[in-house]
Amino acid sequence: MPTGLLLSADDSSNDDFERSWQQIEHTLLALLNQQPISKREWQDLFALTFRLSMWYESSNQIIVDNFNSVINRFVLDKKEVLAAQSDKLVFLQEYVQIWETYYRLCDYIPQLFKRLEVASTNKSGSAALSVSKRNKCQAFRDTMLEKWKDGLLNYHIQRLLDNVMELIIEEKRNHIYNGQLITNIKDALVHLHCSKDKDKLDTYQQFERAYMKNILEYYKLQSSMALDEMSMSDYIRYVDAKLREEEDNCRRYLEFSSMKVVLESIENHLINSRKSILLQECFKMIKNGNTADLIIIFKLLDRVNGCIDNVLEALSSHILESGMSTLLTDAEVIIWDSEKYVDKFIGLYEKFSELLKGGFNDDARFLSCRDQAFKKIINDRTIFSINIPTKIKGMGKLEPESRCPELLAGYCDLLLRKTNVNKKLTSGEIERRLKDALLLLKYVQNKDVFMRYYKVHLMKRLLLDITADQEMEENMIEWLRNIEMPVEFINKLAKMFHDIHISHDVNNLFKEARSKEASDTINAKILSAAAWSRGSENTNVSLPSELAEYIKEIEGFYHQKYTTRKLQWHHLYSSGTITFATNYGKYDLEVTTFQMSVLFAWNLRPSDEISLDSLRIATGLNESELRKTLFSLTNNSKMKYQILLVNPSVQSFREYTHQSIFRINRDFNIVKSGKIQKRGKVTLIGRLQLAPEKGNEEENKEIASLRMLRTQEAIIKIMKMRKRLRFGQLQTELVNVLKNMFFPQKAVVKDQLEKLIEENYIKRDEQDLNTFIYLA
Amino acid sequence: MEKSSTSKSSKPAPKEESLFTIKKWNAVALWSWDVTCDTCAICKLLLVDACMKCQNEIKTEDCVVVWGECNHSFHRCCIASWLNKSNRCPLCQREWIVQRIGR
Ligand SMILES: [Zn+2]
Ligand SMILES: [Zn+2]
Ligand SMILES: [Zn+2]
Repeated sequence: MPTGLLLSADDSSNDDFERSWQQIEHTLLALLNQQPISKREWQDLFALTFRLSMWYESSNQIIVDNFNSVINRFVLDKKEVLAAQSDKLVFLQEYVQIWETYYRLCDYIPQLFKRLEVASTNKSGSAALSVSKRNKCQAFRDTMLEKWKDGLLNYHIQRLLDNVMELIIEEKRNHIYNGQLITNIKDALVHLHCSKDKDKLDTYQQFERAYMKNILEYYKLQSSMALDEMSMSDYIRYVDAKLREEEDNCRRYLEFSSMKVVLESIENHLINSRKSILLQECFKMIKNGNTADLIIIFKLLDRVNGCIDNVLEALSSHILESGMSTLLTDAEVIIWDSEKYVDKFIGLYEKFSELLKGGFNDDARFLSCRDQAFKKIINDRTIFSINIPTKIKGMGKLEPESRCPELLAGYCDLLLRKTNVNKKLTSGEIERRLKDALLLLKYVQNKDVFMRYYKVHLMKRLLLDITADQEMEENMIEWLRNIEMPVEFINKLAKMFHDIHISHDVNNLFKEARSKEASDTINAKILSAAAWSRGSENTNVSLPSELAEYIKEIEGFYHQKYTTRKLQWHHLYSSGTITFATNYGKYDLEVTTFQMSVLFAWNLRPSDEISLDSLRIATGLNESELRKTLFSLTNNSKMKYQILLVNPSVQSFREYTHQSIFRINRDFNIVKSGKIQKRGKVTLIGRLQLAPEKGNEEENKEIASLRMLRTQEAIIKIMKMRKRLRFGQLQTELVNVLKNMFFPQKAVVKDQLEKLIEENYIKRDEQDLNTFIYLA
Repeated sequence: MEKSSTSKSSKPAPKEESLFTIKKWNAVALWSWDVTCDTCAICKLLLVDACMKCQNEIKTEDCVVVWGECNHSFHRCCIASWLNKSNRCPLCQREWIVQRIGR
């Protein structure tokens, strides 16, 4: 609208221009000095600046120059004002106050020149109007900030920083708080940057550097004093408290971007530079179980990279050492006493778990460290081991393994069988103990050993009807399932219960069908070979004729009912009660069928002396079974009087010769409190053959052959998927596939690979003999 | 021979007193399928055990065996999936006709 003004501009209007600017300058200074100006004056300022910008061609430049000089003068003036201020605190307060007003105006004053810029940009014909408008506005703002920095701050910066740092340290030392002022100064430095500054926090960074330097100097002195004066336990609490305090301070006095680096350098000083003392102290605390201090030192060490690895290492070796030494001190007892063994381990486990909870807040890294160490102790072979062969036929190498899984299975049996141990416990206590065993089982590497022995114990419990609590038995199967024991194993256990149930029904049906008087004398358990067969060859034995007859009858009955099945009698599993008439009375003997067969050899010739050979013919037992059975009758350690007498006497079943002569002890009797009893009952089944004996060779061979089978299956499964694998990779995958059963020994894997190559399931790569290829 | 076998415990035996008399006996027998070959030619596992598929499943139902007219026998699960491809016995190539089913 007022374009005419530009055309009529001439020298005579210079005075007018000058006067107009004077008015602008007056109002500007009033603004800067925080003097009140009216709304009218502010509006006039806009009109005036616009008018001046139209005055003539070069008026824009003149306005800029004039503006610069106003700002320059103002800033220099304030510099002097501040310089005259001798009080530290007032100096800082004044700086903040002046700056805050100025900074606010940095947003307002440039607005005055907005229109001026529009005019000048329009002339240059720029299309990007709004952008350039803002840029020009920015230029005035930048001028203001630059002038401040160059004219005022650069002169005062050192004093400013020194003073503010003094406040920060004073806060720590004398608890004199000037938090708001410190924050204001920090903000003043943060805000001071131009749009064109590359590093926007350039000024603030001087603050950050000074902060770091002062804090570190402070703590260098303080922490070594603290270390000298305090106990370690107090010192770590001191450091912990200080670090938290400094974290708070950083949050208040620093920008977020610099918190990490500053905190790290404080941590580095307070922790890392004293790492070796702290670590040593931490190791001591682990050894002493000092959880109250551990939790604190753990938090400290966890702040510094790499420290925790040292602690983990120390914890692991502590668990190993203290675990092994605890076990070794009682090795004699716990080798054979599964109850003591489990108690000991649970004791250790609880001790370490407490340490981890109290000292390390159940940190996942520490839990897994404990698990690793525990695995090592449980699977350790120094205290006791069993030998599992790597080959079945010939002289396969024997690979010693921890006996732990066998003991755990024995422990479960102790709790599930009717025993003295079991009788004294409530079902809640039994459940807790079973869960203890399962907890330890998790750490067992070769779970197949456990499964084998557990199954044999269960067979014994079911066959002899000595299960203490049916419900607990079934719960146990669920718990075993929950800890991911192989499904196939669990299925077999469940089937065993099912079979016992069915066999009961069959037995009753047979008794009903039998026209003869219903008798409870003889019972048959007919079970599935699928669940019950143990792979070992069945042993023959001649039965007393009445039993042989019964067997024929029930076989006939069974085959009518189940036409697609065949039966095999397993007298190794069967047992009975016989009455023994002696010179003193009649006694009931609980015997195995093998023992029964041996004793019945005398029924028609009670006073005869019979040789080993004749007994072999009479019983039909193989020599080794016969010897073991005879030994249980001539040398039963639990009995005062033996049933059988042998001449000459022996110490082991191997010592019987063909000259050995056996006869019945007709003087056998039972003595109770010094008196001979006419009636009584003794059991000779204590070592029923199917019960696993210490280091039972038979069981271990079975375990070995099952391992070979499982290894083969797993190799095929993996190769089918991968098609082509190097031995190392195959081994790694095998370990993973078989992890719930056993650890595959290299020797076993190599053997099974050879077998599969022979059978054309797999071939070797011709170029690389270590690579195997699956043949579909 | 001794028909008095079921005589109850301590009662004196009828004729002369026996040295040993049976009071109780618990016999144990294991049943398996009446088959000529122990393994299933299809899955290579023992017929007495469940087939591969059933072994890895949680189930209570039995994995039974079937006999063909040719007297060859397989897991029922195994021959069932085999019959999807061919109706001949995998061992003798004769037509597969079920003779009996295990129970
Ligand atoms: Zn099959
Ligand atoms: Zn099946
Ligand atoms: Zn056939």
